[in-house]
Amino acid sequence: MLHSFRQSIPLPSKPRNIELGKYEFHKLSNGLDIIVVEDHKLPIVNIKLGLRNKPQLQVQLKGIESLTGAMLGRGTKYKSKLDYHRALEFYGTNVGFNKAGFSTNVLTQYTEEVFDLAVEALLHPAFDEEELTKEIAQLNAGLQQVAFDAESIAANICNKINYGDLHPYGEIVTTENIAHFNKAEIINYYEKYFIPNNAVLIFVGDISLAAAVNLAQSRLSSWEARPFHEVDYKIPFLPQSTNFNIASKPSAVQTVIHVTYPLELHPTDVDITKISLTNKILGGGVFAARLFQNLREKNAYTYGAYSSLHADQICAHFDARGSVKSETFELAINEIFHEMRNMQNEMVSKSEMDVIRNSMIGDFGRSLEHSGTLARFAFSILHYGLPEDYYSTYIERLMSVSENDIMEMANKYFMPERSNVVCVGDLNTIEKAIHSQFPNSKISLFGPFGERIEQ
Amino acid sequence: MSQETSTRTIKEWKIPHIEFDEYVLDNGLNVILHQNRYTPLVVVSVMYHVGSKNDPEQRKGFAHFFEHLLFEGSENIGRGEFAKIVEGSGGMLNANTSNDRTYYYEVMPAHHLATSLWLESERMLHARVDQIGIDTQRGVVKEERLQRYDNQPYGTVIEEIMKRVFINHPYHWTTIGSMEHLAAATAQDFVDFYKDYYVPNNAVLTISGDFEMKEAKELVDKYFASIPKGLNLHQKHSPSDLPLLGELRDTVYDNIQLPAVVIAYRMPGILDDDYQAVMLLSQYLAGGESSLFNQVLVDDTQLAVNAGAFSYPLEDLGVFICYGIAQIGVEPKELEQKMEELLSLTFQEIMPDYDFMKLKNTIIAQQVKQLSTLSGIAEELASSNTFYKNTNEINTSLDKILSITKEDILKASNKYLKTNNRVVLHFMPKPQ
Repeated sequence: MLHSFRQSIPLPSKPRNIELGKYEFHKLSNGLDIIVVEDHKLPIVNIKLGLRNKPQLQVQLKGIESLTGAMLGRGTKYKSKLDYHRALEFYGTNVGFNKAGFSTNVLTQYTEEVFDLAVEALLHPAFDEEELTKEIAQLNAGLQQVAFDAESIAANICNKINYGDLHPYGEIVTTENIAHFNKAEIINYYEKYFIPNNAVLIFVGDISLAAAVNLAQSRLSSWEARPFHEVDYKIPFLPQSTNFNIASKPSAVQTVIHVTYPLELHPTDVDITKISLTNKILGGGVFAARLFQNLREKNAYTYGAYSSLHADQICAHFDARGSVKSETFELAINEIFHEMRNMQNEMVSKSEMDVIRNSMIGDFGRSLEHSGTLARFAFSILHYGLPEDYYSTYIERLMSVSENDIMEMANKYFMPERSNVVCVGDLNTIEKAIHSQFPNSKISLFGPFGERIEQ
Repeated sequence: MSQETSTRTIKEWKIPHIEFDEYVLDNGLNVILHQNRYTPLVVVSVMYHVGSKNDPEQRKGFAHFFEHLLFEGSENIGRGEFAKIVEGSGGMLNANTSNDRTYYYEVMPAHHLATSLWLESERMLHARVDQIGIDTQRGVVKEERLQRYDNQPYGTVIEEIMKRVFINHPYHWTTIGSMEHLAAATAQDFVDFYKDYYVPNNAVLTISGDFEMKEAKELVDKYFASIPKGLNLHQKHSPSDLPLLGELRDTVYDNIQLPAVVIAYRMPGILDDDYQAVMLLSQYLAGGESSLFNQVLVDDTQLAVNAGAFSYPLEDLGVFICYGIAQIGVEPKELEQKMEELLSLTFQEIMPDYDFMKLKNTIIAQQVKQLSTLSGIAEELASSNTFYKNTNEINTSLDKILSITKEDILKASNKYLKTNNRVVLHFMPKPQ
């Protein structure tokens, strides 16, 4: 039987418009910003409080940010930790406390009860000494495990080598820092940053604008504003030349590799859309991307290889990575460089660019299935000062990117000659292969927390 | 705790009802259509009722390896084109393999529904894979195993449990399987497996999202109706297993820093009424900060840095797993003893009302979450049809769970949490 209709891609039907829903802003007199996205499809509300300050150097106290967040979930002035969580979990939910605030998903019928409990923790934390000791013991146990986790070791070295000691992103939590934590330091951090004029409160889901504002107003208008200041940091330098930074992971059966370097790329940068498309072609998480096709589908070096180049308000970075076959990890690194250079030297074809561009438009459409996406857009508009129509004109902007732009971006932002390469695995194998594949290149040895080891 | 109980009740809840249309094609393909027009997206999925339990004895890992191969192409789709077509249409695609089923799906802009149906029908009718594809994916699967299991702390825990909790049943190996077996796989293995299991009468097709009913049904007919029925479809293994006769204890040396204790009990599968009771039990034991495990093991005694309990959802038989990762300096023996005490509480005492209400609220919230995305709904529809042979299970499962009583949970815990029905493993740091 001949089925000619099987031989080619079916024609699409008429495309439907991707429509952005509505978000609303409100501000309390104490400076607390409120974002509300109504969505009544399901009987659930997501409530999130986020601090807006830029990351700051903590020097010996690195980790105090997360610790303070975690301590908010360890009891209030009125309830022990256990009583607090028993009360909260009765409603079938929990509140996740972190360095940036809290987040919870709550069934509509319990919105007030859960919000009250979240606010109780936010405004009246106990910061109990005994709970602090327990939290620190937990942190310590977590750090113990880093030495056996190749990906964590690699992430620590990337941060250390990209940003250095004088930048907040270059600071790494160690057992040594943790020894400096005490109640006074936590209260100090809490008082400095957990203030309404440094926060945004976001409601998404089955709640009306009026009800959300009312809830915030009645529970949080007594939260007192205080002046605070933040320090800006210099963008770290690019390395002079490509260099290798290696660490051992005991009994490794793969090598974790990163090709990475710091970059200045603010969320308001005019290049953003062009860069996103350029990175997506290289390795941005789709099957069709070049790193995935080359390292996985052609060479079977890895289960997956990806690259990212996200904007960031204090310092961005490029990162191409994979967990790769130990016997050929150096070839995988070579292929990453090869693909970066290839995009600098050869114009991408229209058809390849279209596949990736369409996949990005698809990403955008799919992301809108979650109303949380709109809240994220609203936050970026508020926080970074992006134009109001930034997201409604996104597809238009993406469509205007040309093949030329891609080559230009690759030349401006890809640095194959000035990269930090990080390799974590079996040290003997790694050293030998680097010496033979990349002779005369500089190799530095690191411990699991990014500490330099002199050879 | 008693005053908490008297002041609280469970408030009314509402869960959206999932509407769907379903029918079976002449070739046996189950078709489920769920219209949901909030966003211009459509999810197309095919669930094949084949998983690692159907791996041939000498080809452990084959079902999962096969899933990789089914992205290679077909008579009409060249190698590597499959993903490019989906992504070039603005869609995303993926697949996963469990012990019981293999699940393929695309999330597409609504106007590309036909493309997705065409691709899935090609995959079902005449998938094609050449030697290059086989060799490459074998290498990729090997790296997947190394990355996700062998190079991860505690990455092989499930494998170590399954191979002891099950004796004759193919659940005694896991989906990733054996690299030696995959190295020996031939093109003929591929042909046989495809002919046996990748047939319409062993599959459920779902379409969920923004589409016209009439158009969708016509497209399903166009692309799937002519696919021939499988003639050789039967489960080649027995769904039962020999009982565990007595406690099995073992020590496993792994690349970890902190020892771990695992206690795993043999259980019935998801179709058994007791399955849900045990699922609730696991939630009571380890769900949330105020659960028994977290409160006692992590908080009060600080014997563990992390502790949990869950029932592994399997079709034929099940396993209920409790674990704790020891705090620095704590001996596994000491941790195990405390876990034991907590477990024995659950078969001695009925749980307090307050905890039982908490459990119900938690289950309601989890159900809402599962139904919050089109992909979640699609998979739930497919699973309901595949395992329960009743698609409407998606709408009735919550009531079923909520009708379980505290007494049922106590009974189930007494029935299964027995010493002679379990495996106890201590994971210890390998001497460096």
